[in-house]
Amino acid sequence: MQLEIRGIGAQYGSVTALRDISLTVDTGEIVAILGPSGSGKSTLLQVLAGLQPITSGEVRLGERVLTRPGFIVSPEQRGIGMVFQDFALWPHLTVADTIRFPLDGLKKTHEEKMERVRELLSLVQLEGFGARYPHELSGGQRQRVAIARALANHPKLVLLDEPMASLDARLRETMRIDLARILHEQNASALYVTHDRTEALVVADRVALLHRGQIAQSGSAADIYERPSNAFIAEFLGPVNWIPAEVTAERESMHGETATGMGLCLEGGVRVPGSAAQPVFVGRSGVAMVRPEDLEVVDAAALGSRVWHGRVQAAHYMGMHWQVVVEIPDMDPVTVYHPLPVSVGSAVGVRLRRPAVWFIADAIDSVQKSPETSAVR
Amino acid sequence: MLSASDQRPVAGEQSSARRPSRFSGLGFRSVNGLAAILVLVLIVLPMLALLIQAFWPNVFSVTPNWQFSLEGFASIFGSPYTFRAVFDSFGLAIFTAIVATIMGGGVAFLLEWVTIPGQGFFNGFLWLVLLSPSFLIGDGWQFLIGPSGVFGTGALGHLLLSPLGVAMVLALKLFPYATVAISGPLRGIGQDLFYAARLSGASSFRAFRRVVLPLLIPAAAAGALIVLAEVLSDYGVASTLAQSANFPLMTYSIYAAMSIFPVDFAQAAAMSVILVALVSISQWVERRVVAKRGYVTRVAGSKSLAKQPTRHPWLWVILLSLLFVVALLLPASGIVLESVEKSLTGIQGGFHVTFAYYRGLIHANYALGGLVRSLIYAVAAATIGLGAGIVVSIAWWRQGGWLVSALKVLMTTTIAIPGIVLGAGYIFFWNQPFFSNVGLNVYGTPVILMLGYLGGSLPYAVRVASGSMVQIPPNAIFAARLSGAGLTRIIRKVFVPMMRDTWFRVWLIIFAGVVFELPVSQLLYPPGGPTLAVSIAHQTVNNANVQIGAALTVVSSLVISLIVMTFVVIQRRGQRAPAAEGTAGSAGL
Repeated sequence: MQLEIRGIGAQYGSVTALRDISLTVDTGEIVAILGPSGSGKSTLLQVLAGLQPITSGEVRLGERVLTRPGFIVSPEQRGIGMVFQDFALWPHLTVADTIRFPLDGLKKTHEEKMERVRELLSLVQLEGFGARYPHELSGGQRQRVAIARALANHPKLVLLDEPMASLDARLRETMRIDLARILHEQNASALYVTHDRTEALVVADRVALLHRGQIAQSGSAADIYERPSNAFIAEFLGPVNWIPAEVTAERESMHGETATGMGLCLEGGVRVPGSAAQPVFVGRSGVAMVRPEDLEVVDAAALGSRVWHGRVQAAHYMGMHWQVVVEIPDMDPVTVYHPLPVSVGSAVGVRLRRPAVWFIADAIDSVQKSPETSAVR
Repeated sequence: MLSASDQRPVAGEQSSARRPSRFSGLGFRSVNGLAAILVLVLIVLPMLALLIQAFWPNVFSVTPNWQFSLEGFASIFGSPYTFRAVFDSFGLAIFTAIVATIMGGGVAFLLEWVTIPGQGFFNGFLWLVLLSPSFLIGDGWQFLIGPSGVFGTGALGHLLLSPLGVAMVLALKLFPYATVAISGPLRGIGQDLFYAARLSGASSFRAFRRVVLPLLIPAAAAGALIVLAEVLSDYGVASTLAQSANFPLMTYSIYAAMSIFPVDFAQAAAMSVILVALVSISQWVERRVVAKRGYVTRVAGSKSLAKQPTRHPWLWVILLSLLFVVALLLPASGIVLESVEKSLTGIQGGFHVTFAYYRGLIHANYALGGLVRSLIYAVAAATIGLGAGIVVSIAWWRQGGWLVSALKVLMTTTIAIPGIVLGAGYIFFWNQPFFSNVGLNVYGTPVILMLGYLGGSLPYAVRVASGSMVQIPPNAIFAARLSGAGLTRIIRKVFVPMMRDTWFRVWLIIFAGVVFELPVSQLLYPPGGPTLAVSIAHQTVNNANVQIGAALTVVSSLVISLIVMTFVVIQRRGQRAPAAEGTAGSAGL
């Protein structure tokens, strides 16, 4: 059953928390709502859970209207499951009682209810834990109980509110995969709210990035990571080198909403094909988005149209790679992820590994002055 | 080359290698010593004397005899009056605890769960009920509907002067303890726990019944046990209403055994031991219930639940108002009406107003002199008690060492000692010939009364002060030391600004507690120098002049309220820097 959010807005007093949000979640699809603190993620979740009224728009689940201005279906009548950030397990109920709780209101026999509890315990791999209380469980086990409770009465939609936030890093990695498996096995539509980009990219089929109460961009994980519509999105999803560039040829063709095949001249004289969110004319200046993993450190003597030459300013060991900062004459330093150590002060070349780069027709100043960005430069 | 065993430090090296305390060198050792002396003199020794008196009843006789005897206990169970007192007290405590917890739980629900107008006002009223002296509440009810009261009627008067009447008056006086005990956990329930139930298909009512109520059971049990301990300890209603109702209770029996001829110190001491044991058991169970609650109702960072809208807010407001009218305004109006009633016939004979009793206060014995004396005692006890409380709470806060651990145990156990028991202990201890021989004649002087007040106030003062003090991070002091500050500068620049408001609260709590204090005063007041509560009790309980007693109560209440309000206004104006966040408000409970 499809969730349809149509142009909703929400306010707290005079503060606008959500503005014209539109989004759909198809049956069995997991959509991640990604955004920084204060972007409106929690408000959106509260609207969907029936805890927050809206000022405009409409929320539908299948054919049924759940919320519109002046009308709100109460939480218990929505047929929605939810996994809370703190799991919200009731300390006085055992695991089995907790999972059974949503089934208590249904017209089912005791045996049918217990059968469903056993089925869910098996799904979340907690067989034999039914008699335990929350304080007798580990963090990962509590999360599984919360998931099982949310799925107990076959909800049409599952809301997940930063469900990994209280788990440690190692557990988070395994739970991401488990969670995606469980949701897909149940064919549950899910809206997954998080501020962790890795989580969103791994778990979700589709990602919507929320910024200042609006959806800044939505699409597949690869789409928004590689082709962000603005600098904020690019930087929110990972470190970026912004290299000033100018459009030198506009032989672009349109692939979907993306213009490709244009010629770009990057600062330092590197020429490379590019693509952008919309067609741009020759002579238009902007910035090329080059992520550290798109670059490699090469020998100082290396030649080629895609090589800058400079000197290593700093090199930090990051575990999986070295983060190398290279100072290039007449340019801002660039950051490169390199597999091997490099001596600080040594002369090196920096080569662009990608065949094409993403161009954003913003002035370089506006990118650099953005208070919310935290790019590697 | 050194072997492994060679590398072990010798004993001396090991102790010197221990990490030094962050407080060492700040003179805290002498603070610990002073704290120990205070607790020893004010609480431990008097209680020890009481225990000795209970089990070795002839030790303090003219010819001391260390023979162990249970004659005091035997006399309790041998006399129908005292035997009844033990069982009446316990039965009354259990019944009142149940009624007060139901009332208190209902009030907590209305103040913390739903949105109704005037919640701040009702919260203030709750504290007024909590702070009003129980003997005045008892008197007020008797003046209003007692057999010789203003509206004295047969049926109501008989109901009031019955065990049920006593229990209801106590429940109406003590339900705020249950409200306070339940309100905190109710307020602290995380919104996610409730919404998880709603999103699991439960209606608001079912979510409350299945999730919220079970989570509140430990808090309700704790509230009930606090009320139970308070009923057992109460002397005010026991010496007024219960006495008139011919309903003997333990606290009054202790007083009677010590003050009414023939005095029986052994019985008083034994009764005190039983009373302290009962109160301590209920306090211990209460602490176990709270400590073993094991219900984390809100994970750090998650929000507490917003108050729920209700369909009939004004209906709840009317109900709450009625409760507070019955709990406080009716007994208060009883006192006011009694103080201006011309005849003693009540309203049936026609109500005629007179202010003669107010004028009579000037010349009557046991009147305004008591107020003046009590004000002096209260100011002195509050000031000295605050100082003593600070010393003990600093030792408490600093932690570590057997002495401090012992202090903690003593402070938490002695908070439950009823005033009447403390007074008895002071008599047994300070009335020893030893003190006369060394010229320390405090028995029968204002000094012993003052010591009694301090002993009674100290556990509360320490609990409130240390409640806020534990909020001061030890590193705040350590940072000051690293910045070159010595003890004096640390106290002046760090400690005092952070603790100022709490200390002020402690001062006010002791002041308000002492000024109307009855049980200790009645046992220890020096001849010819009755305190305010003794004067009121003399006029009303002994029927010397009931209206004079009522007028004295009205005048005293006005004067004391004015003083307290003035202090609060001055303190609020002086507030500039933020003080340490504490649990002072509830810690006193």
